[in-house]
Amino acid sequence: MKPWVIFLVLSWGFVLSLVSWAYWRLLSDQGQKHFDPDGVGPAAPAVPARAVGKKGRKGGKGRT
Amino acid sequence: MSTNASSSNEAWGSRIGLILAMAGNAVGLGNFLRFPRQAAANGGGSFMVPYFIALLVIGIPLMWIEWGIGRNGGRYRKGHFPGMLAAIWKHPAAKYVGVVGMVIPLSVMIYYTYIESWTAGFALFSLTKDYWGHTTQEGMVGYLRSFQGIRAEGAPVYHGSWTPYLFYAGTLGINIWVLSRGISGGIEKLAKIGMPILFFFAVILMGVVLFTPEQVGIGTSPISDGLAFLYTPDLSKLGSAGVWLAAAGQIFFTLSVGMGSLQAYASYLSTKDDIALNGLATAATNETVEVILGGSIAIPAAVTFFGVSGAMAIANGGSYDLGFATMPVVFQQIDKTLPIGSLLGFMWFGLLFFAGITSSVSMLTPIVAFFREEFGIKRETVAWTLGAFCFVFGMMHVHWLQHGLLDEWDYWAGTFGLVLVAIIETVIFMWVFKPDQAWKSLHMGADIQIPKFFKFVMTYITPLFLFVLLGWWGTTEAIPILFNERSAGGSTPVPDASWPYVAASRSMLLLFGVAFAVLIRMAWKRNKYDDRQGFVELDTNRAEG
Repeated sequence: MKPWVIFLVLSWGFVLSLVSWAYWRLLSDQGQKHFDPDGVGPAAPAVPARAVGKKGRKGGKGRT
Repeated sequence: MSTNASSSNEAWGSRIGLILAMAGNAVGLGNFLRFPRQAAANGGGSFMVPYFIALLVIGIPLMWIEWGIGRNGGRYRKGHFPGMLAAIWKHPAAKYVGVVGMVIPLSVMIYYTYIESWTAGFALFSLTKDYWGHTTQEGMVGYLRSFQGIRAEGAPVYHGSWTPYLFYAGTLGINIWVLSRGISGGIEKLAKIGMPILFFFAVILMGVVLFTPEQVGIGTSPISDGLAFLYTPDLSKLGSAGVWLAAAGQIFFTLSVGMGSLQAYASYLSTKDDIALNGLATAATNETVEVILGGSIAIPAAVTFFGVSGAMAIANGGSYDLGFATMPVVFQQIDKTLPIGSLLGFMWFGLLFFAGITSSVSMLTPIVAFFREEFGIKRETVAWTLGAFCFVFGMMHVHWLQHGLLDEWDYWAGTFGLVLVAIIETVIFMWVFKPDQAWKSLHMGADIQIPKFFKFVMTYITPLFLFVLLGWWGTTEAIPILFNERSAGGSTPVPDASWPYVAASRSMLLLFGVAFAVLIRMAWKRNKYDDRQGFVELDTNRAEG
């Protein structure tokens, strides 16, 4: 593949990925997963999904 | 998005309207004319490396900072830059530092609408085939100069001397009318109409240009030669500081940051509205228009019809000649095989017009907000008074274009001044407000959590990059231009005959600054603001009088 094609594909791919992700979040999050629904600012960051560990699911001792 | 039920409120009508208006503000003539020239002249494909890095460390962070500083100002009913700064930095100097955020949008508005009026004129001339027959670059440059009223001695006359004044007055009138209709009733409606048209025109033009067959005698194709011309990497350029600064400058201009208008738009949001995802979506929309659409029209068309060496010469020339002289020749050539040349010309200048007007309507928004909020003057009255003011000063640009007034303002207000505003707002938002407070403010009502990495970037990397940019431009451009070692629009000094006009144009900018400082002092006295106490926070959105 010619170098200019690689740079074009990477450039277009980057902006298209960015815009697609942003609009996907805009359209899918409407009123559902509001990070700060009351608008006073988050007291603490949201707990990422990976925080739910294997232990918690199996033995009930971890965070759920 | 939340809207306030108060009868005196002005707010955005819908989230998509807000994003289209913000994106319309960011998307301007530079997306289609400046970006492809910058990329071609600074290493082609390898230019995209510093370009995207600059997007991540300057563009997107500044977008969030401007949305944040604007929305925070809105909590105190401050839609103007001096008020926004004073809301954060409780110091008597804050309001005066903000003067620069009033002078810049006002002065840029005055000359930007003049350039916008050229696009309106050429859209009409395309439909009437007025420039048909000027089939060379030189011929079209002569036609453009005639329209601008700066033709050379003895050169043919194609337009009445009143033509540029008429188009300027009409374009300014449309801008002021939209502005006088308010945020949701004027600006948002324009964005909802203008942005889809812009996208539609751009996609059609991109399709036509990229699928144009090779021209006999030239032998270059729009894809394998045109896009290759733009994207073939010259990795040796990555070692050049100039290329990195050119990329940073392009990112800066394309997102319309440092103007004071994004902040004014954001001040119409409440703390329950998201700005993190909206800001990102705005930047992403602008980048899509610039990289994909902006890069696939003018330069590939120039390569197809003028060959690689011809396109190189065009790329090294001015943006206006590329848009107003090269493209009309291209459309006339296409018309020989596909008889829609005049329609394509109309679409090209139409898209430039919509790119321009969706930006220019935003520029007076902070000034309108200032007079409404601080002096209680009705929106329509402020808008039309400002329109008359812009008309008077704009006429000077139209009348004395050949003396370099536009270039002067474009440099001091539209280039150097923007970086100054960006530095001021970044320092005040991230350092005076403090990173933790700024971070919390950005996440009020947020739909996404901004990666923590950006807190570090916005606190240290973005201001550092901006200081380097200002220092670089200061030494390589500002000082030589200030002392007339070169003119703002060229490489040679301003001739003696034009020097009084240049001096007058700089004096006008200073005068605007002094006038705004006096008005701000009057407003603070009138409303009995205590600089050390700050303003009283409103319940939610800003109120409309």
